[in-house]
Amino acid sequence: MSALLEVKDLYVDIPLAAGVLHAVRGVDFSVDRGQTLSLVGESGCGKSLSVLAVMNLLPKKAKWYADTITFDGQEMDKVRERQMANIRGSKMAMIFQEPMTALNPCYTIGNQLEEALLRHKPVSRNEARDRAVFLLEKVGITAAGSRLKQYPHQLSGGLRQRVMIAMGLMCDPPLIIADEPTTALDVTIQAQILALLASLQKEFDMGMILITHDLGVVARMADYVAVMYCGQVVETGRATELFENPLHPYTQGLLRCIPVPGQTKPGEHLGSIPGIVPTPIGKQKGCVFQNRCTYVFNDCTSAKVDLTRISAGREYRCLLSPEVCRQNMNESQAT
Amino acid sequence: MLVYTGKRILLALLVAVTVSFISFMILNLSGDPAIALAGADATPEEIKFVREQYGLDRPLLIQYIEWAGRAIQGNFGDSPYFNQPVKDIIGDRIGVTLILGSCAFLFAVCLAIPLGVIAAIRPNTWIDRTALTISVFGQAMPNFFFGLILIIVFGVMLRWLPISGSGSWRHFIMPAIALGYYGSPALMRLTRTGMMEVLASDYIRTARSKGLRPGPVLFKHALRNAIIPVVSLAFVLFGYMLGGAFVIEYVFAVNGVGFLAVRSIERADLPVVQAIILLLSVIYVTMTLLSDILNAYLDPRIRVK
Amino acid sequence: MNYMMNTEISVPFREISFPTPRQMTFRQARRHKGFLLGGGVLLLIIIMALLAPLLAPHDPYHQDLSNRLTPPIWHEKGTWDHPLGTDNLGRDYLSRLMYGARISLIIGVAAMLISGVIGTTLGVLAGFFGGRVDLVVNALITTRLALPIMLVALAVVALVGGSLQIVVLVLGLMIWNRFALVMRASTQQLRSMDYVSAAKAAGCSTPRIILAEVMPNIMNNLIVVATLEITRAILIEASLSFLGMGVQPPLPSWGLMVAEAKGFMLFSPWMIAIPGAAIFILVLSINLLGDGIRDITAPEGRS
Repeated sequence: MSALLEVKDLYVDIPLAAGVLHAVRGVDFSVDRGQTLSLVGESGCGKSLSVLAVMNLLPKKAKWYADTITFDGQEMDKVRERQMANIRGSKMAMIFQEPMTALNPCYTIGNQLEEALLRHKPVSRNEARDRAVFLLEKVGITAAGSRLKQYPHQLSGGLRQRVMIAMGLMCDPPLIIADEPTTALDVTIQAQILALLASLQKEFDMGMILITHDLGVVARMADYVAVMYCGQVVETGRATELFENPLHPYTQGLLRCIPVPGQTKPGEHLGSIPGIVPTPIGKQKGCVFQNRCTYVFNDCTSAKVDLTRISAGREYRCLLSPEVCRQNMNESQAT
Repeated sequence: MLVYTGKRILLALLVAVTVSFISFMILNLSGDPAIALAGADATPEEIKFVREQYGLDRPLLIQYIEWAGRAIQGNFGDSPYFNQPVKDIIGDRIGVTLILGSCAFLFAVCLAIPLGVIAAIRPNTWIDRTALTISVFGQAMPNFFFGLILIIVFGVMLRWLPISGSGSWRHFIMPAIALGYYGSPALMRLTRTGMMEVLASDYIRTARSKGLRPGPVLFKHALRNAIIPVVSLAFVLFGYMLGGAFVIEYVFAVNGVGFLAVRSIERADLPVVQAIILLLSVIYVTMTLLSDILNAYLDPRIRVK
Repeated sequence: MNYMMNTEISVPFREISFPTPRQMTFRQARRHKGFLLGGGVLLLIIIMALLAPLLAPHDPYHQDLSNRLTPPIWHEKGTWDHPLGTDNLGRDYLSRLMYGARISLIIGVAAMLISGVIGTTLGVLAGFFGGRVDLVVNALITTRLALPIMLVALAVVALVGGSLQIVVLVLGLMIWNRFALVMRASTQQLRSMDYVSAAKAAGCSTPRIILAEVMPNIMNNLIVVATLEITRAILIEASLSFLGMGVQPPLPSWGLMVAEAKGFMLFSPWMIAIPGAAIFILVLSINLLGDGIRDITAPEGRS
């Protein structure tokens, strides 16, 4: 059974004045119906650009190519923009990070919701309106009928994000991509929105790609995780596997940064990963994490580091063996 | 919304009154209207006679209040040159100015806005550079010079169009182009900048992510937002074209209010000048008022509080 | 436990060194075509105006009625004695053009300075004090905008009499609105700038904050408006003189030259083309220069 979306060997290049920025370099990921894949990483690691490339929403300057992109059984990497426009919104929907600016201030909520459906399906305005009301109620917005006539600036951030989710669902897409959907919201609202996304995914049996930098969100929502660093995938696996047994030093570093209730003692220093993310312009030599890695050794600066496969869906990109990685993690946890 | 409009109307009236007061003072203080009326070679007795005849020896404030009182009733006095009510003199000519201003405005809008939109969609291409070049040239070109060039090229060398007067519709083509060209650069730049900003905004990305085609994205979503500041400027420009066409009307000998204004100044026909200044300021405040109202209508963020 | 800081090793990617802001400014200035072109042409015009007494082949006021309406050098009947021909009174056009540059430049700069002082004062007062002062200034600006300045200028000149000084004064007293608006906005920003409070938090004293952080931003805006107002003054003066209500003959104002040539333009089109083109080129170069300065010194321009 093939996955709903399968991306192999994705590259995104952005030409800058100082040279070409290789923002995404050879990234693979896949997601299936009913599953949540989480792309995790720091800002600038290329996670947003990867999904924007798949949806062909990158800015004009950016150039992207992939070995294969298969969506719902179809070969996609050669698809033209016209066909892509038919797929966006109807088969693949995206929810963005900033709800405050994601809606057009000059049109009502109802207009923008209905538009999403009317574009793809030959339904009447009334049918579109009914669907909009139905979905607004699904996402937990009361008095949906009157909300339709409101303008975006009359709604709070949390409400707007709910509207964005409803808008994504208008055509009942099998795949939904959420790019940091809760980052711009209050902490209390975050939990609600995440719970909402999880329940909707179950109800509509959708595949979901959830992009985040917050490991808490990953722990809560993800079935599968792909950790990205500086344009590359450095570790993949089931969420449970990753949290129990992180292999890549970067993943380990990320996990050390989070306080664990019950384990972390008061006044204890939280971990941090020294250094900053390098800017991927020009040719790469050696491992991308070398200047920040605690376990770096000579080979790291010269050898080409590929993904090592441990089992299906469980890979990591490091020269150290899995046993050594496990040992490193245990040692650092003991102290 | 009604209160907002009411307040703005009141403010507009206040501005018009203030302008008429200031201009009255300026005109009557700049020179002695009595001398101007009586003529350069008038004797002191003749000047004194003229001054008493027209009530120019009374305090300025009184003169102004009298003038204002009559103006409100629609009586702007008589023109000493034409010996006719000022109202009629201006009324005879305002039609021509309205036609000219409207044509010029249409020309400017039809040239500037599409050019600005296309330049924004395809930045740094030949069309963008053309638009910017037109804009830069338009801002630097003195309007009277442009008018004269048009006359020489199209009127004399090619003989396509008549070179002066306001008899037929053909007479309005060159003046309308000369007048409209003046306002296009600002309009085009504003459209271009506004569109570029809007096209880079998040809600355009949302629209595209919904699968909307480039047409609706551009017109329904982008233009609708970008046009808001352009509309404001367009109104002010229209007001300017209605009232500021002195030089163009003069160059093309179009018998409108602008031409009348220049001639009346030459003849020191103060009642006419005073009335025209009032007319122009009323046009300006009306245009800004309309633009504010339209702004509030177009932008829900202002309208629905 | 603190983790060991690993020793520095070679970064895998090419090092990028970013130039300093001042270097970037010079680099951009050298490359910006508009800035170079505008600045270059303007410099030439200024030199021509300053050195007119030395460069002009003839006295611009000297009439030679036996030599009227001679065409410029590119005509078959043109002579090098009068490279740009003569006008209807036999005066050398090239010399008049050179002296005319003085008039345009003087009026442009002087009117800009006067209006700049008025507008900046009003704007800064409004922005700094806010409240009622702001209301008053706003009322002044609105009233000024409602006044048809061309008409008022025409009327004043017609009644008082035309001269260079009158034109400068009238223009200076009327074109200050943009200065006021821009300075008002800048001053308001100044009061609530993030980087002013950040600099204060870092311990900078207030004068230093204003000098080092705020002034460059305001200066940039001011320069842009100043160039706009110079061109505005030049164009208005040209129109006024063209209508006969500006600088008076026999001064060689370019606008006046066009007016004087209007009657002969059908047979000697170069008579209006030359001064008209001169105005156009002067205004264009100032605009290009102003645009260039804005592009180069704008903080966002440094990416």
